[in-house]
Amino acid sequence: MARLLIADDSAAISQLLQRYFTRHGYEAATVPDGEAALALLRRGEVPDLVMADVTMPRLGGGELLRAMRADSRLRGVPVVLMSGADLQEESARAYGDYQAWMQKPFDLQQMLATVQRVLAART
Amino acid sequence: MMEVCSKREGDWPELYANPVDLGPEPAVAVPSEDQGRQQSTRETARADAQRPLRLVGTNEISLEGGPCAVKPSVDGPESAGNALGVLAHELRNPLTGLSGMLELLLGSLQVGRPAGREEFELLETAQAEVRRLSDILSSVVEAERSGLRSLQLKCAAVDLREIVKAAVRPMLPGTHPITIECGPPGPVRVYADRHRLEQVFRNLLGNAAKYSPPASLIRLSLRRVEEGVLASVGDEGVGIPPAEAERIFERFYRASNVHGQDPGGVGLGLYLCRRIVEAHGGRIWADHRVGPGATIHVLLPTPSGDAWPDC
Repeated sequence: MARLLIADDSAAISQLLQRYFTRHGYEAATVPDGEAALALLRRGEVPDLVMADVTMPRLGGGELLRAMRADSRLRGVPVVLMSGADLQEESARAYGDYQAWMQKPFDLQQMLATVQRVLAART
Repeated sequence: MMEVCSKREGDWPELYANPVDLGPEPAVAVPSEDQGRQQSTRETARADAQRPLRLVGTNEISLEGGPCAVKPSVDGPESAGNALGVLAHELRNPLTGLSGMLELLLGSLQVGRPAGREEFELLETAQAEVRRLSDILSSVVEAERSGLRSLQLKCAAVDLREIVKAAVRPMLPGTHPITIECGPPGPVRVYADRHRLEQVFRNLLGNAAKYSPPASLIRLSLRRVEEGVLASVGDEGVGIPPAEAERIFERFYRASNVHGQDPGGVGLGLYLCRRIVEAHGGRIWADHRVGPGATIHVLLPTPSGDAWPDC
């Protein structure tokens, strides 16, 4: 069972993704910002994939990505960035390599297909 | 000794039926690690207060430039495109939630089978997201009407006590007891736009009520300080994370500890308060402390001596 970490300051979106992916056989944990995500990751709870909103309080998805890519233990964890803002996709590349970009609002099926594709590419 | 305003003084609504003497002058609570920042805030407030009163000779202030210009927002250029982008971002989150909830519901509901608990939860969350969308639109319209881009003030010598009373009046009776301490006896005169300041205090009181436990106390105090008049609104709610005490006044910024609690906030109220207060030559800031409770201070300069503008 693949493990996902969902970082989004919107509780509705976090819970929605958690519910949806759990229904599809994934194990999904949620955190409200990048700082909490990083704390969890650095405690050794490394998931198979991280979904992170770009705009979050304290630490956004871009900064989270940068911190992960700078950490040898987390460097290989695939990241899917989500954003409700325009024109962030290219500038997010400056933070590091991410595996997929999801523009809000997105379909859950579209998100599921993206996660499946990214995880398949990893293995 | 503080004078505690009470219903006996006049036209106070039922809301103030149980005023509480809060003792000595309220301290501006500052944790030691934030001393530097608070000092800086106070110094800035003092510097602002010591500037010549900006309103003499005019009853309008432009936010767009010139010697009376208010500092630009810390959140960057406020072009129409930028504002639209921020708004689009704010709308996409509830839209994503709403769309996803409906997608989940369509996948789980079956004709002839009664809806289960999960479906009801999804519907409730979807309904909350719709409310949030509606509130965002209302906030934006209200902010636009209030003149985010060009704030025109119609200033006159006004009694801040009367303004505060007017701001409290629309609050729902019985929701929160509110005490008002009025340090100086008699009218608390400031040179200001009555309706704009009333809007500021309505917003601060509304936030205090929104982010506090039901029936908890809200304190509003007015006192004269060296730089002018200091109004403070304090509550017993979730507080403000110290690191975000400045950021809560940014446009569309919402404190991290209220996310998920309040589907109605969009992060424009305090931004607008700051614009209004700064347009008056004043300062607004939050106590840098972790909860329980938050206190927002508003410092309004008063003209020195006989320098009251002709109004």
